[in-house]
Amino acid sequence: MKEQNFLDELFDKARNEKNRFDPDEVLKAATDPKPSFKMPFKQLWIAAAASLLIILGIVGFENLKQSRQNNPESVVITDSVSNTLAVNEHNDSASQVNSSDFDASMDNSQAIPLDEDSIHRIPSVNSQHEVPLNNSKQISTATTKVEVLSGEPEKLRLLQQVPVQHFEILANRDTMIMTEDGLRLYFEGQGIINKQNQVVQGLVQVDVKNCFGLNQYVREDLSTFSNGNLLETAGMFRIELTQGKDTLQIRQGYDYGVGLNREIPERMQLYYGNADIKNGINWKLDPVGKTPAPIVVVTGGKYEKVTDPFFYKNYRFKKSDMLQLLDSSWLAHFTSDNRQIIGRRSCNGETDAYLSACLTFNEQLAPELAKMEMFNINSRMTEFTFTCYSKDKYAYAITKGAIDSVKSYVPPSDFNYLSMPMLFPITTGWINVDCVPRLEVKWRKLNRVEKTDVKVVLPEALKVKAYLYIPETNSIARLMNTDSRVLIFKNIPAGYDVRLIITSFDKEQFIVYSGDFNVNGQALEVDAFTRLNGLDEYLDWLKKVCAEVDAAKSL
Amino acid sequence: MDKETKDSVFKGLYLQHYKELERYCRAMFPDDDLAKDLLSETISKAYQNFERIKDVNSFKAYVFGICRNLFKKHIRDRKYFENLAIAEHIPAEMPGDKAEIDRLYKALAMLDDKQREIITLFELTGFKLQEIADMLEMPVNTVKTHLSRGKEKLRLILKEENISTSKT
Repeated sequence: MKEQNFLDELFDKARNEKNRFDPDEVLKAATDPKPSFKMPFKQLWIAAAASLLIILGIVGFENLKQSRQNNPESVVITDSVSNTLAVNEHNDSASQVNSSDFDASMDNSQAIPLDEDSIHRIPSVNSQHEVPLNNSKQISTATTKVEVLSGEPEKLRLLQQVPVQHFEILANRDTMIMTEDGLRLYFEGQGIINKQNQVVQGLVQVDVKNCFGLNQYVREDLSTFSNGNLLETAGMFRIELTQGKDTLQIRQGYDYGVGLNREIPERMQLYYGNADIKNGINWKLDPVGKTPAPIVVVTGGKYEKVTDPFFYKNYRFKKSDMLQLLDSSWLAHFTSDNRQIIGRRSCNGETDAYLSACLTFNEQLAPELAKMEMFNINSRMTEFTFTCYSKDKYAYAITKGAIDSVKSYVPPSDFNYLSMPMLFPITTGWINVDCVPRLEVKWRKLNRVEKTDVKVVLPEALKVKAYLYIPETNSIARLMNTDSRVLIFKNIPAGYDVRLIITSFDKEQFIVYSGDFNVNGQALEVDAFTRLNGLDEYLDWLKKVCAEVDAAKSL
Repeated sequence: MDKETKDSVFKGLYLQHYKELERYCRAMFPDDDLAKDLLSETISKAYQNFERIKDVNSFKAYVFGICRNLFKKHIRDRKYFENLAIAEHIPAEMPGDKAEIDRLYKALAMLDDKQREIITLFELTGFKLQEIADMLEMPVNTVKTHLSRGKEKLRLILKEENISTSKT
């Protein structure tokens, strides 16, 4: 009875407790889209200036909306135009590849649990507002930047760009971000530095673009050339870290990983690129030819048959700590040096078939993992995460047996996620998962190189952008021409079927062409252009063309 | 409804149910920062979709529904594990009611999700058994069972903690 009263009294106390948080503050934070954080005094003037710009932007935007009503000829511009411009200003320095930066992110000694709640998600910038292109009086900040550029292809590039996804993370905490299209980005706390090599604290902006199909390649103006050789690609994405105007980098020795949202061929490797509007990106292979590695997430239970090698080599935590965690009734365990291991224990307390499956899983997995050359057991993510690599440069190392064990335990839907490859890039900026096309590999083996220049003849001289896309390998070449009627794509592998896409922007019209050819040494003749009115129409056309290509590819 | 009216009505309803919601968030996430994030996220979502409410009397159910969904999402995203790690270390030496209440919340975190949620909804936020049953889509008797078993377990946890505290 006494115990009963004790509990009721506790509930009473909890019910009568004063608010722990200030309701007004919570309401303000919840209804105010801007994240609230303390700002250093020295930066107050920047904040004031930014606020002024925002106010001007809002006023401008309202004016623009009004003007749109009076101007039906206007086209739609996404916010990403201005955002991407801003990012491009510092893009090159951000994405330079420096082999000395290679740290492999494999051997860090800190292990802090992830805190997804440190993410402040800003609404993705794909909301569209309508802006009259030709009315310079009513141009907002976004359109001013468009007007500054010279040349129609550049204008087109800005108009069509893929929206940026914006996130904010706390630099001092481990964070995982999941983008709208399923990319998972992992940042380790204290793992971001500025240009002065100082560890960055506080909020950091993370901008992500994910391009994995023709539509996005064209809209982002991407090509897949590396030192003059066309690569086969499994997708490209760009990650930018900024704080205010500073472009940030990953700190040497700290984890930074990208979990892909799709399966990719095993032969793919990591490439990095510097954005170059004029010449396209020249992709550079990762200094050690890193390959996206699978991550096995083990959701282990009570581990009854732990073999020594399982925790024998290169574990981050003491074996005793790991075992204690597995045997613990809690989901986390503090090590003797006060670090935290997070794990998930599922077996104990379960019955019948589930318990049996769980134990079988553990029993099968232990010897399989024990056979592997593991030099990194990474348990900082929410579950035990064993990163398995072979000795020869991060190739796939997970054995079939281990995969089967995971499959037998994890529901198929989860397993798909678990088996997604993970990359450990050495830099931010543009990242590409590429390889030399299979045909070229074959040629090389046969000591033959069959490449050719592809000539494209246009019906009229125009400033165009031209793309040559090989559906079979997902490769794309890009050209920006001046005023000539003849374009030449150099060094294209012969024998492939290709889709030629040409786009241009003339005053208010989009000039486009799309056609299928085969690379056989003959010139590709473009009979006539199609003219489209407005960005929406253009994007619809592009979407349709890309769908056609995808459909043909799947056949 | 214009924005001014919306803000004013929303604020009134929000303040009326704030305490219960705060308690619920704290019971779900024993870490203050996470609880505050959940609370803030809930209010933000509730405010954004406030126009959809036809009857202001359903505000409590509406806002708790959002909160529960967000919490489930957090669990799905595995955000929750860190929290339980915090729950492992119940503060034992903090004096006064605040410490006791903190211990209650952290003891709650050691229960399984269903028991914790049902106890929180019943004891801390004032929902009736039938309302909880409707909300969780389960029979009232099941709710009662979870409630009594959960409270029993809670008692044990707090009792063990008392013993270990008194030993130290």
